[in-house]
Amino acid sequence: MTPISQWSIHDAHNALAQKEISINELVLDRLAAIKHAQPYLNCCTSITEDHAKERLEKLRHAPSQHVLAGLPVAHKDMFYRQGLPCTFGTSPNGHTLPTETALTLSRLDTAGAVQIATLNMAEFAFGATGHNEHFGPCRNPWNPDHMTGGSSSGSAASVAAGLVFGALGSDTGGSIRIPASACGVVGLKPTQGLVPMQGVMPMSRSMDCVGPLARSAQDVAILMDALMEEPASSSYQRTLGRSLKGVTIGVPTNYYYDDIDEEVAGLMQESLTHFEQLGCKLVDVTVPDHDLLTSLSYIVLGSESAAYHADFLDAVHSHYGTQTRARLLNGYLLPANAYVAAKQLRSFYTQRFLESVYQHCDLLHTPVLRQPVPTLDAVNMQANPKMSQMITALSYCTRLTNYLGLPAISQPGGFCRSGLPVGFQLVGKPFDERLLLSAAYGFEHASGIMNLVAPIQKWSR
Amino acid sequence: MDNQPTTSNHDTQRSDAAFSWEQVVSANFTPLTGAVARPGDITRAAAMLTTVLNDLVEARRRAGNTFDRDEGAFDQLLMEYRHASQERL
Repeated sequence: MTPISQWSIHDAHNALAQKEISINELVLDRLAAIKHAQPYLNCCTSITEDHAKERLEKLRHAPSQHVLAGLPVAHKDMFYRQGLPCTFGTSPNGHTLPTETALTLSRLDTAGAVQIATLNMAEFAFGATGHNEHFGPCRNPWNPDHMTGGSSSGSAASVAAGLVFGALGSDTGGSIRIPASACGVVGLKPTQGLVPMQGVMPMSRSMDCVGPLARSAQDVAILMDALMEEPASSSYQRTLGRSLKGVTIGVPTNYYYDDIDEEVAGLMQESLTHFEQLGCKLVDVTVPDHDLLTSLSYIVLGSESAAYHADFLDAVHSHYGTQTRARLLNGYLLPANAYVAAKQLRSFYTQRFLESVYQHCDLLHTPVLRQPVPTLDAVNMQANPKMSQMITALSYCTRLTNYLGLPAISQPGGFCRSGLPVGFQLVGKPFDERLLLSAAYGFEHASGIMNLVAPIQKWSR
Repeated sequence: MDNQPTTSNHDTQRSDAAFSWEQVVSANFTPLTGAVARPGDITRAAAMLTTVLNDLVEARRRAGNTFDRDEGAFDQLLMEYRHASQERL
């Protein structure tokens, strides 16, 4: 029998439907697994066993027929759950006990999913590596000496380790896509404003996106259907498996491949070959204005996050982690007119990007990380002088997409010789999530690279 | 006498060797942030400001310096794509 850790959402649903396992057994099994993994992966801020058992009791009295019913899930610890502490990955001074539940969590509850943990993250989502000075670093399930990426570090790690069937993360500069790539899972950053942010801690309200991570495009589509409460007629799953013949994939001739590692470049090329085999047409595209978009993004992020943290930072700034504090304080120094200008320029640059890129292609294909997944030590910069360059380097391929508000998916594309995963990114036009998921699904079935589960048992010895 | 700086003078102020964001940041760091600067804070903030504000000047120029810019245009743009997407479904 296939281990539960390797089950897809449909595998689990079918096993429950055929009474090969009960919901109770499934949830308790994954609770035991996550407790066992926690000491060496450190992917959780809490294991919410009591909450999970309450959910089981509720499901016993009011069973759900949804495909997610009874399936263990988790979320980055910045989504409010009424009555359960929310840590934001920060020191205890910053924790809160919410009086509301995030709309996205409520929708997963309605579908019958069972939350078993809150997940480790970069403090206040300020981090691209998975380090956390208060909770300790989250570790990559493929090799615990390596980073998970961030800031949705625990979300990617717990999915990659087979501990949950899906997780929620957030993405303001790459925080779903970077850890998804580094951990070998699928991570979707939806279009700006698509998935409700109500009840989720903001980092930069203009650019924050909530999105799902899972081990396959189909599982991500299932989660999107639950998050968006999509009817069958417009389901994200409905278009999976459609032919990709004639879909044009844009390959950037500038920016994205600068200083790329040869092995990573090779895996990018291999992924493109699979798309050609699916009948996609590859075209070269030139990406405009990339030299400016990162700065415009930083102006918006810096200003909005500084404003959000103002009261708290004034009172207890010494309780923030070194790197978080350093990055946040920069935002106070940005002139207000710069923030307004950066917001005003957003439509111009998005329109120009759309016209320049998407008149030639349907999807833009890029790397996510240009170098193999680094060790935790190599990127443990805290607030040293190279911190900014390191963050910029890690989010080089992802950050512009947030300023432009576009949807993007990080899809596993293979492994480096080191045994660590490498993902590629597909960027679409606004609200083209269905095409992104179809392309990812097609790639998975053409390449066989899907439902990757890290062999974490070797780390637990 | 018109004492408004000309465009070239305005540009010169930014690139004048005597002008440095480190001086500005150093003088304003604590008043603006409420925090005492730790080693590296001033240099890092100055480097950030230099880069992003220079890029912003170029971004405005490339977009055509104009009064006609609306923050709401971005949301409107997305809304148009959303409608188009829904019509396709």
